[in-house]
Amino acid sequence: MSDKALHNPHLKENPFKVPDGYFEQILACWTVRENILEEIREVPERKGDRFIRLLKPQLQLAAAFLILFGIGYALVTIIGKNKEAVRETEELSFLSEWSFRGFDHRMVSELVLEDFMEQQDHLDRIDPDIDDLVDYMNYPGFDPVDFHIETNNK
Amino acid sequence: MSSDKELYAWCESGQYERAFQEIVRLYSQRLYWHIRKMVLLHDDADDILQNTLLKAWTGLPAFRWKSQIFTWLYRIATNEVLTFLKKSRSVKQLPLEDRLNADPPLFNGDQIQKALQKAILRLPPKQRLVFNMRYFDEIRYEDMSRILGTSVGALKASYHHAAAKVQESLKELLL
Repeated sequence: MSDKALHNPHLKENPFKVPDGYFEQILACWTVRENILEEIREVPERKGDRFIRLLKPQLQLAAAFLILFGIGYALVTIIGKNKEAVRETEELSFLSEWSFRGFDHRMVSELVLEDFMEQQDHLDRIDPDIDDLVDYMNYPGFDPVDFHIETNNK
Repeated sequence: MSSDKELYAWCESGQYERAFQEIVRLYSQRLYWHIRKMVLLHDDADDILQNTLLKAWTGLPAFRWKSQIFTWLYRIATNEVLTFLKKSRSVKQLPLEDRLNADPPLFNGDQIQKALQKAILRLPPKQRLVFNMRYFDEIRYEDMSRILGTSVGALKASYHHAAAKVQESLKELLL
């Protein structure tokens, strides 16, 4: 095959055929039915279609916002969970580090618990009001010796 | 034979039916062959031609007559063809090459013509359009530029590229 194959005039001939009378049929189809042509052009738009067409941009915008909000919420949730997991891991690694240094894990737990109880005691301690104390001591029948003994016993 | 001026005058006076019937008489065959060379099968070409004529009829009152009517019609047909080819790809229909073999009564080309059609089928759709319009229909690059909305330089480059590919494919197919 030479490089000039495309210059062969035979190749430019049309190899396709159409069914007999096809073009006459097309002509008849589009020229006889004048009324149908008018009907084709005047197909009214349905109310529902118009409503959807008008609202489509707004709906798309709303959907885009919803998707963005969803992505943002998911990101915040995932990051929050990760932070919590990191804190728990840090606490566990602290306990394991103490255990590694030879401390019994029960002892470590007791120390932590004791520290916690001390904090609670500190929170529960109430500073007495001086006026209340004076009233109490002026109460008839109050014996300072008994008070001292009772306080020491406690 | 009616010219664009006569068609324009009919449309201006509101005689759209008369103008459109003349358009169908003048251009339906050219449009059909333009479409058929792209999609190969008669049934597909017929569907696309009907859609093209329908769009031409509904769009005729809005046509501004700044370009030739045949340029406008070719543009509609070309867009319809490209849409069809895109859809055909998406629904994974049979390759056109196989479909050509399944439609022998409406294809009576000899071996070399069949090889040429197969070679053209190997081109991407837009390059195939350019090749067909230039090689078979001998449309001027300036007119093609108006139809396809591409620069003349780009069309020339595209055609020469396509012709070289077809030449290569023909060599391979006719060995």
